[in-house]
Amino acid sequence: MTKRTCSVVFLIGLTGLSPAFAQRPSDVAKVRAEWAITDEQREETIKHQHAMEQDWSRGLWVVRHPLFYSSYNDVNYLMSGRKITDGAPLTPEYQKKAQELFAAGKADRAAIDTSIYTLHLRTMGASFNQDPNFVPLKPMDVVCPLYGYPLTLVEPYPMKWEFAPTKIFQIYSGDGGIARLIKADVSTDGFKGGFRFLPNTIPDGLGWGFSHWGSDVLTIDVSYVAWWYEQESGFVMEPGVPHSDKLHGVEKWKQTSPDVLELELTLTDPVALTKPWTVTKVFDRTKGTEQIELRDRQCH
Amino acid sequence: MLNVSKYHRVSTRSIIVSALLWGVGLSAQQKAPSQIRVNDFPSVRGYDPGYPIPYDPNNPYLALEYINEQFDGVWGDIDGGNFDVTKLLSRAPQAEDYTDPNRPNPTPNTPHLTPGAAKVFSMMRPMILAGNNPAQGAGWCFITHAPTLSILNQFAFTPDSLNASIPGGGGSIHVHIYMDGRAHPANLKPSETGHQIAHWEGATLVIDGMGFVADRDIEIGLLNSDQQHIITRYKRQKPDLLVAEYTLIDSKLFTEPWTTQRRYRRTSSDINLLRDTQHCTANSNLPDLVSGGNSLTGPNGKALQKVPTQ
Repeated sequence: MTKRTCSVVFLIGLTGLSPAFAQRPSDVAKVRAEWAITDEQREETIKHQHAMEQDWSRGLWVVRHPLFYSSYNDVNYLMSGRKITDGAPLTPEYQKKAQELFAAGKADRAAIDTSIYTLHLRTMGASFNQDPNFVPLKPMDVVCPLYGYPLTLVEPYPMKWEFAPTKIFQIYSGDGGIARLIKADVSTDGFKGGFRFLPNTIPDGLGWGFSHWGSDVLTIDVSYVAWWYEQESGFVMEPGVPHSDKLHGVEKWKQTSPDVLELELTLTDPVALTKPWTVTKVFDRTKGTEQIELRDRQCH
Repeated sequence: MLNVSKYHRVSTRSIIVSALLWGVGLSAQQKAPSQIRVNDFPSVRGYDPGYPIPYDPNNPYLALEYINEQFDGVWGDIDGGNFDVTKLLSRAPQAEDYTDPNRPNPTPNTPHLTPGAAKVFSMMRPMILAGNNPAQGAGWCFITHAPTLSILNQFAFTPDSLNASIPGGGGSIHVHIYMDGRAHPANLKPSETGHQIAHWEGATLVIDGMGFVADRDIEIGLLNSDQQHIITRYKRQKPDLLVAEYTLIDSKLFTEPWTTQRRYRRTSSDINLLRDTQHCTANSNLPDLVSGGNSLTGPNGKALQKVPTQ
């Protein structure tokens, strides 16, 4: 085969591969829109986002009507058995799981109420100076609530934002020192950063979050959420509402007034939900909390 | 007079020469800053790696982004090995009895314990030698704080703070380190991650931590008191090599400050460790009631290795 023939064959081969490299029209449109912005406009946008980040970082934020996305307003209401109309649209399989969870909660409320979840432990080793009467292997109970995703977003304790250039932290005082880490300026739609999850990604109690700013809205995309609700009451969408490992949350955070943030959360779960569940929650900046230091607790 | 005057002239000259020499000597000792920056965020203020860093007086985010890039990724311990609490900070064998000053071949740089601490260590040592792990932290949910089990570290600088991971604290527990110039509060309530403040001294990040809960592992068998004060000095010796020097001051535990060192190599910039995957309750890290050690299981229910294995 001559060199020319080889070249032709090679070029034909490349032509065959070209569809693999072709961009989707939506990606092309996004890139074009991005290129249409002037450097000055881009700089102004980034400055505006930085200003919002600095503003959101001030003080602590508390959710209105905590713990529930539906109209249940507390666990007692849920445990009363009264039905509501705006609950999660669970599939029959997950309705059954929810009923099992409800029954477990009737038998032991800690199965459904994360705030009283208790670890039954035994003391270990020796105590240096905290407890002079320390006895090894003495039974001890530790109340250790955990709010998994997306329950953590509405946990009844103040939350703090921290913005680093490539990471965002939401520090939850209720979980005590546990911070939700969100990769910043990356989206999972292949546009910014083009992030792709690895097949062996480990589910996490708070999921894996990626965020990007779009005008005044901070979008956070969360997936790979741990679902071990059989083990601990916090790994649910809201108390009593289990989800699968296919849960996917898209959060849209927007500041509607100087001290108010609005979260529009859309949850999809092809196994647990019959259709996307979109809910809205409102957060208030608590007055005079700029100097408050969040400290951790015993439960880690 | 002449003599006096002459003497006076000589004296003046010598003073001038001395002053010049002193100036030269001073400039040699105190290296001039590589860059004068007037609009840094508090977390970048004072950072001087020895060369000018990207800087725009109208955009402090430029320097902040740079400093985050310098410390981005996951820093893995190359001295301590994997998640193994038996790798002691002192490098001493587990059986070494710190309480015996006349022990043969003592490991250099082992801690000098107070009588009270020696008593507790004596209680715990037989349990260690029996193969159990009597450590409070590892026995529960790996509750501890740096330098213990600081196997993998991750750093993220915000405008006025450093957010870092403390691996081992029930997985990877977040610690918020203030860099806005505040001091430790007067009436500090003890907590797992303490109260930590930091500042830059050239290229060295100095973290000052106190207010820790007592009875957490420093190394296996050695528990801290509520007086523990830790000064950590982080410095990147090479682009991907980070050296941490820990000075532990604890008047109830040590008769003198104990300084130890760990080195970390940047292993990845793709993994984020500030996760909750190993939350103690999810992992069911409950104690083994028979042995007094751990009954560690992963989220999949598979048993993990007990510590220590010997």
